[in-house]
Amino acid sequence: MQFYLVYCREAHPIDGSRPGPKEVEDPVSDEERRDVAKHFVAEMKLKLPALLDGVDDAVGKAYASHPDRLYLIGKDGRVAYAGARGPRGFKPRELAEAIEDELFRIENEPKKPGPKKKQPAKGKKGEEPAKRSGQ
Amino acid sequence: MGDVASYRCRVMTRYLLAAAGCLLLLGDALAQRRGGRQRGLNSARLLQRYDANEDGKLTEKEVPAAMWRRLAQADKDKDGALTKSEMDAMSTRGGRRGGGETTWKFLLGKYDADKDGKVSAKEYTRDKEAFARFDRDKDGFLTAKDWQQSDEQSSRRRGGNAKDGAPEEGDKAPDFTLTYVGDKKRKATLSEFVGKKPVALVFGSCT
Repeated sequence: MQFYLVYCREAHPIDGSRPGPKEVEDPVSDEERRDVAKHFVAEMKLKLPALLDGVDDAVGKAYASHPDRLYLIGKDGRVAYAGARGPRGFKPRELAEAIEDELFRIENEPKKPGPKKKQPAKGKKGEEPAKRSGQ
Repeated sequence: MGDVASYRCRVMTRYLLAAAGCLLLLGDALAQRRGGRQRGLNSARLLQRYDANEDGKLTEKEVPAAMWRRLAQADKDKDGALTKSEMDAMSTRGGRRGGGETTWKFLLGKYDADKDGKVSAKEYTRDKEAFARFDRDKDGFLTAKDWQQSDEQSSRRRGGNAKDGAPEEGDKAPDFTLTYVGDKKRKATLSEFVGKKPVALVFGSCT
């Protein structure tokens, strides 16, 4: 199981249209956002590996993540859980249940038969199998 | 081995999500404040819920650690205890929703070098695009009037919650490659986990 915090666009920067109590200006460059994110991770003592979305918000837009949101991407690369838009839709308990379901599914998925071992080409007794060209 | 790994994974999952839940509990309180009906941290409710010794103050020992890290900024006299008035002051620091006086005072204090009560493009050293966006009346200066207009416009935008285009369950997850916050040379690509393990994504910011 892999967890990632994806640090994305500020929800309530002090210079935004809906400012929050933190005196954080909306970053205008990737590096500014990185500095804010670094400070946040250190301040909150977060242990989750944190990734940085660029100020073009490419990933945030693809996941409609603003202001905050939870997802679980299944082992098959498909969305196994898509939380509703935060903060009201930000429900860690739902994500926990989705993770348990996904892990259960993985543990119980039928094991695929491994690739069959190639039998060496049969030759006459005492003869070595014919070597492939280029070997 | 698989069972042990799975058990550890579940324990870790619960631990992380419990921590996230604590953070979000306060975040939700803040969000409700901004929602209009219940403004502020709801200090009365916090005191009712966490003030174990009923002295009318909250201390670090009485609230979850993650919550205290957020609340501690309201402790203006740094005595290690939060009174109702301190929490209420924190609740209203953001001023009116939608721009407001606090934001304007912050910008004025930071950028108004010649102290003439307005911020010129030369004084605003951060970003020309942002300056143009803030300068709503296009007079070449950021003034209190620009922020009043911001208030009116944002209040008109409020309401409605149209479909936001988020990927739905069963959709192929949009792939990405992002750098780590603490190390811009290190990258993570979502599609590299396909066929290996599931990935939980927690999107958010500090504000």
